[in-house]
Amino acid sequence: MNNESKFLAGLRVTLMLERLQLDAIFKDLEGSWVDHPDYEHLVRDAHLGIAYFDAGKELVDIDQRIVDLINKFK
Amino acid sequence: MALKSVDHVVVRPGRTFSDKDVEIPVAEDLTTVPGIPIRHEDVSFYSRMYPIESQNVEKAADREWVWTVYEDDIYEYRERHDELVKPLVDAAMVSGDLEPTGTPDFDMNITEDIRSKARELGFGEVGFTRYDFHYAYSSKKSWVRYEHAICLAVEQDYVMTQTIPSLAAEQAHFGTYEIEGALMLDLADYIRERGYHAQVHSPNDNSAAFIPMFVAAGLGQLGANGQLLSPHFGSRSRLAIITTDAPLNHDEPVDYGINNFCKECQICVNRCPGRALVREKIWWRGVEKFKVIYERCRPVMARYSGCAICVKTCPVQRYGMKPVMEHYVDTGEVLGKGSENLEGYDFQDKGHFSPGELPSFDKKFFEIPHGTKEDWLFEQFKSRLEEGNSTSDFEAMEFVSNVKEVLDKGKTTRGDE
Repeated sequence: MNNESKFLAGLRVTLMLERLQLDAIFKDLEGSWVDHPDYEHLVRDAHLGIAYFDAGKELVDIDQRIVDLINKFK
Repeated sequence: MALKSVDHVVVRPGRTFSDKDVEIPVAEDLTTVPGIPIRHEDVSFYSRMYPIESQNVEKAADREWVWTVYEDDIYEYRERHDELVKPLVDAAMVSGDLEPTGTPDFDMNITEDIRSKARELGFGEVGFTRYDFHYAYSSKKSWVRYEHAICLAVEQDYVMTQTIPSLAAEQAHFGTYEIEGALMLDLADYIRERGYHAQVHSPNDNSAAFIPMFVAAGLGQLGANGQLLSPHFGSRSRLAIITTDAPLNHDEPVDYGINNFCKECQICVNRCPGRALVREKIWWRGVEKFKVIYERCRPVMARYSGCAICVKTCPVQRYGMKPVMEHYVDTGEVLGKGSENLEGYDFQDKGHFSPGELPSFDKKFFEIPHGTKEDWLFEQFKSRLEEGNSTSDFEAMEFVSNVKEVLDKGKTTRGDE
């Protein structure tokens, strides 16, 4: 169901992250963590966290560093 | 409260050797059958009457053609890759002839021993089934020895894969084969030390269509993108098989919910730049599946760094099966569907494509050589005659000479599938 149909059905409409915000998140992530052993874990969590955010879900079980990044650029 | 009822929960080992088991809930409306819907008598009929053959033989004309359209960096990388894997493929070729170096211990659970060793070596998925000759390539059937198949998958680098299409993603793809080829030989040595024969079916010289055996061994189900969707990596894995005479217990196929999930999701179908994926399943050679249109896929793959947008945009690949299936149970929705992050992609000279947008190509783009090399030579020669062009003795002799050269070179099953 897209946002328009959700709105018409009286459901909560969620805003998804757009390209510029996504580029900023991944650029920041790479700039800060690319040499860190956790980098792959963080990239995985970034994708999952963004998907949860886009779906209007709570970011539970997502690394706090990623939650902070999403909040910074949302 | 969850929107969907859970029919069953699949428990699988964690992504890496040290990770704990994961539980994947499968919604009632996604539940179909373990493995894939199959009509065994049809599988037997088609394999007997129309046995399958390696793409490296059957599609040799376009396999050679791709080298003429590769970008320089991909060309150089592929050449290096082929050189690197050659000794691994050579070793795999004769591995079935090697004698065991140890004596079997019949009190040992050899199935679990091999599973554990394979996981320790770095294989992400390990399963056991009968080697199924219905899916063996014609030119490989007489080469295959030993009845049990150990199905092995190595995970491809996560971060590099998300850069698809790119040289980095191709390095992740082909580089995984290089790692896997060596790991396969190590595991085969280990099996011989345990007192049994082991034959390595190289990931760069497949003996069969491997996916049906992986499905039979419970390692995943066939996705709408024509690839094995495994629990942790989706289609981001590289497959190979070892056959052995070790007395193994076979695993069972599993219903992860993928047969119906792909009907709901359709992201790869919607995002495929070449429009090579189809919305509806068909019965094909005895199984019900989404049939990829090779002729729409290959020209894009060859010219756009391996393409693989269907891998990049698959939610199971991006997030893993557990969060995807949990989200479906909770909401009835496909995690990431419609989002820029999952569905958007850069497509080199064509630019950026957000959800709902696709690149376009003209008809000529899809005209590529097809069939075997000799078929293609004959077809070109025939077209010239049909167009009313006269053929000189020199041209006729040139045609014969080209066909002879192809036949003298012979066929090879070597090459990545």
